Amino acid sequence: MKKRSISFTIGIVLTSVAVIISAVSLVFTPYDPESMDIYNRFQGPSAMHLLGTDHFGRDILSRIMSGSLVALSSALLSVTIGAVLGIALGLVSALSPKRISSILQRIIDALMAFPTILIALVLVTIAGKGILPSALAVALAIVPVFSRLVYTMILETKEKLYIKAAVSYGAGWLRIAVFHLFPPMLSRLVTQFTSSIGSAILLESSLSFLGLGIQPPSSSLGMMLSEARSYVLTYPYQAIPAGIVLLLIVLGFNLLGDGLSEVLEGGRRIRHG
Amino acid sequence: MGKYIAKRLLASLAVMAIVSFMAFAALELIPGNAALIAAGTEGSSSSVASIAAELGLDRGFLDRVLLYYKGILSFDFGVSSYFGESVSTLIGQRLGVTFSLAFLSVMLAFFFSVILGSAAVLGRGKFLDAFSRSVVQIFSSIPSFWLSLLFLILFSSVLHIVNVGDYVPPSVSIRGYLSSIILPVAVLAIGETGPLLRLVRTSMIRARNEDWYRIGKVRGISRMRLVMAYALRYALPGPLTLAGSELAKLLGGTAIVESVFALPGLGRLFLTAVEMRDIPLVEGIVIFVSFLVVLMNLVTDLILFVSNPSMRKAGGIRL
Amino acid sequence: MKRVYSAALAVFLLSVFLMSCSRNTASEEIQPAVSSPSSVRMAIAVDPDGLDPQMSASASTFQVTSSIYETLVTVDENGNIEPCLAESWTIADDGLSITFILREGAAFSDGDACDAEAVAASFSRLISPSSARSQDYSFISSIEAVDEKTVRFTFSSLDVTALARFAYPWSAVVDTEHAASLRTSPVGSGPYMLSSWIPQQSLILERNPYYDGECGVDVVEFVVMSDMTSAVTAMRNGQLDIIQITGDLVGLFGGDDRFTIHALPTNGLQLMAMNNESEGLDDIRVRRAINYAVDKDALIEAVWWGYGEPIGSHFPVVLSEYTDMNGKYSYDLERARELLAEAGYGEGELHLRMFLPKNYQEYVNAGQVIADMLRNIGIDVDIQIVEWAAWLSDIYNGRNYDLTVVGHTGRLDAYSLLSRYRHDAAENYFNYDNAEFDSLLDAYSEETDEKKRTEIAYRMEEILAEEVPALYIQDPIQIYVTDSSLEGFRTYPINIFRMDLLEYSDR
Repeated sequence: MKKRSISFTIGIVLTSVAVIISAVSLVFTPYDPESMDIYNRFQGPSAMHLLGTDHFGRDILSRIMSGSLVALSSALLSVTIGAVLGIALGLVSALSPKRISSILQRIIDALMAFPTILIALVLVTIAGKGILPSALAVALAIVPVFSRLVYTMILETKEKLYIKAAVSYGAGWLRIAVFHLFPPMLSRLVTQFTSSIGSAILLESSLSFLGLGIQPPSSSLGMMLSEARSYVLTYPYQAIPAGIVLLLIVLGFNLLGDGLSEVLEGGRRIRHG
Repeated sequence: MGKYIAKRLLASLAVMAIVSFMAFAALELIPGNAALIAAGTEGSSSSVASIAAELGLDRGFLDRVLLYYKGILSFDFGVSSYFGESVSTLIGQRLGVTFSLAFLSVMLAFFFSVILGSAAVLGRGKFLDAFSRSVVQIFSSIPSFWLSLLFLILFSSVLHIVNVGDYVPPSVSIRGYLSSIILPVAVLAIGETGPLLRLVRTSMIRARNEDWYRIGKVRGISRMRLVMAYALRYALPGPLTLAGSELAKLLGGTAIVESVFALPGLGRLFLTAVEMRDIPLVEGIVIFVSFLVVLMNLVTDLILFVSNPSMRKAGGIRL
Repeated sequence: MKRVYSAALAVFLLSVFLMSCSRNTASEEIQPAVSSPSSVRMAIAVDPDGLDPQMSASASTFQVTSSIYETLVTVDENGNIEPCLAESWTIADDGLSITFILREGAAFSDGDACDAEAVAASFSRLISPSSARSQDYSFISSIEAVDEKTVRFTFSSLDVTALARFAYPWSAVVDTEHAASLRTSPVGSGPYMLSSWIPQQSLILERNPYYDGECGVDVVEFVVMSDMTSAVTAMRNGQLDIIQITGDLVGLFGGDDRFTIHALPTNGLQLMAMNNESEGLDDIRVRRAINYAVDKDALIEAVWWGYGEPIGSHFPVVLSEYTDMNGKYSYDLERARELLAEAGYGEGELHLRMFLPKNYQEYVNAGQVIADMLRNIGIDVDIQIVEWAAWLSDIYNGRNYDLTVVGHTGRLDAYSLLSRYRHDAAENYFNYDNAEFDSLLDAYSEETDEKKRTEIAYRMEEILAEEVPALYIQDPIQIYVTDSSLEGFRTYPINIFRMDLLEYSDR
């Protein structure tokens, strides 16, 4: 605790910058991120276009700004949904009789073995445009992470004396869960939540890369990279800016997650998997 | 033990049944079918109906599902509606590529992580430790498709070192084989190193804090011997299990890398199958991959079981 | 310690076992890594959907099957009918029957003679009710093997374009004795036969030993490369002999004497279809406004790097009946805004849904550029990218759309090309309805005088150019790069390749 966590510091800086840039994109971008200028495409960085222009002559910086907003908001949405579902599932399966719990475990196994791409495809087709369908697909991939975490943590705490005491006093399972099981788990959950945002951004961008994310003309970082892919041989620069930004945002959340675990858990417990 | 394995295998059958039914439902929900694809925009409208009849798509949903499961019971996975080839042949042709990618990259990541992780934790240098921590963070933050693009730009278009998109099976030329898979293996290995190295580090730190390690040190047992003979034994089972489950995950998760590097693997086959609404092929791959996942998880659990007597007593295997 | 190692060893052994199992399947295939003078390697983007030409509608299939099977007649690069399996033919004076005389010595790759009986059997299969093409050939009322070398087709109605129908690759003569297995083991009378096919990897053809004609190369290998970047890299490293590229990549090959670049207009066209029944687009003024608002030159530059011939009607420039209709609605934003206002739509009042097929990057790009141009006249376009299967189901067949961008391959005559605009045609996804046009279509197919027929074609082109049921974009120019020592590479107005005409000048 005495030693300041470097991970935490770098993480908080990177994530704050990302949040600020995305927030700014709501009110200001250097150019309209969607407006094309075909005769000025594939420009390198210049005073006019700080990061150059893309294959339709759109300003890359402006697209990255609004793309970051898409990345952050959809990741936040999907991790929130995933965490709520996962925690509920973990709680239920840890506190219910063995038979039900093993059925739940099989369902989670099936969910993990089921290809995310197919889930995303179904959701995109049914739920249509916007960030919701791909965020839901990502959320489903995150559910097992939380449910497993909660499940093992509860099994660990369940045997503790104060829980047994509460049970012997006749407290209901909901009361036990909310007042006795949950609080000690909170810091682990916060940590997991933060670093899951990093993985959610990665997953969302790979779905976008496969064309299963947000629809044009809106931009997402994964889609920008997917578009850049066609020009790898002729205009390799196209693949650089969005990729670096994506890397930094994900790195920021991963570091923040690690740093949080060091700070919140006093660096004694080291993150596991 | 036998009973345990039987029980696990039975449970895995249930998982496979759920997964395959979910895939059927998914394909039923999304619009389009194989007959429409075959007729395209240049075929005549009458062709759609006759092709649909040929493929059995004119039957009801449940009818088709039951027929499919009936086939599976006699190990008949059907014929791909797009390629016209039997599903098992198609999967068999792809297995080598995807397995090479998954296996080589996990092996690479595993050995790299064990060496770097133990050196960083148990060695003396502060630098190595900081280095290994940065590797964990950066490697787990790089999007694999972006890394693939960077590798493509650097190695095949700027340096002209390796060939891309021309998969050479090892039976034809080992050199050609390595040259065609080295980049994707490197991309996947980097992605796998993140979680593996992290786990090796934590396990090693725990080993370092154990009494026997301190006592060993005090008694003057050489550091090398302590690491090789004791710490590794203590710390390896965790990372080994993780490597196993990562391997299983990769068997179904190399689609993006395969498609960027144009390799004829299972993942790309799956993408095409979904795109072409090739129901038998989608089902075949989904069932096969989930079987592998379940099998790999079972194998790694068994390894843990065998290698760690304390787990056997504590019944550490979760069912 | 030992246990951990032996456990790890067990995993390793299991893996090696699994790997070697799968290697065995791969090792059955022989892959020439470098082209020898008698072999040619060509990159293709997608696999054929099986190798039975009568069962397919896919260009990627015909490009392969045209080397394995023969059609009765074929076309040269200008669309003129030439002998193929039939060395000569006579059309009856009333136009109601055609008699083909087959080439001496034609044989299937399994050694069976490809005689009149075989041809009749193949066409009976093609026109049978269960065939995918039955509707296209419903005008054939009987097929008769007159003698060993003579086949006569009798027609129920007059169709002056009948001969051309025997040139399309889906009418290829197949060995019906192997009908059930043609998709994976094709048997035809063409210059090549299938040696091996690993989907998504490669498809290798070798000489058909029973083919009596000449071939410049012995082995044709189609390498499946879904990604153009890899194909271009492989081509530049000398591993391929023929690839198709997009306009932005021309610069990579220009000025290098190892390569020859062929930029050839194709028999095809690309358009933005409009649903003539959806709100707004049912008003001809709105459709015209959209045509005025799109700068086709900029569009073709942006998406195809200038490789394309702008068109003003549903007609490819390569066909002899083509007339230039480009002048009708040249780029004029003022006029576009006026027309839109006349139709009652102010700024931002017209909302249109545009669906783009994901598998075709060029159409996805074109749609985005057009949407951006339409924003200039105050039309709000909502883009949704859909999978090809979903596009076929909901847009093409379901007609639930406002705008979509797609391409069509050309036919050899105006009737086959334009019959999709008939008001009740199943392929009329434009929902276009014009009685005059329908009667012109009928007149065309019954007009035996070529000059009058051409005039009817002009009139049909003109109607479409004026009423613009679609925004006609361009006739694409396809760009192929070949090894410069390879000669005889041409493109044809139907989806075929003539691999037997390729040869190396020197190596």
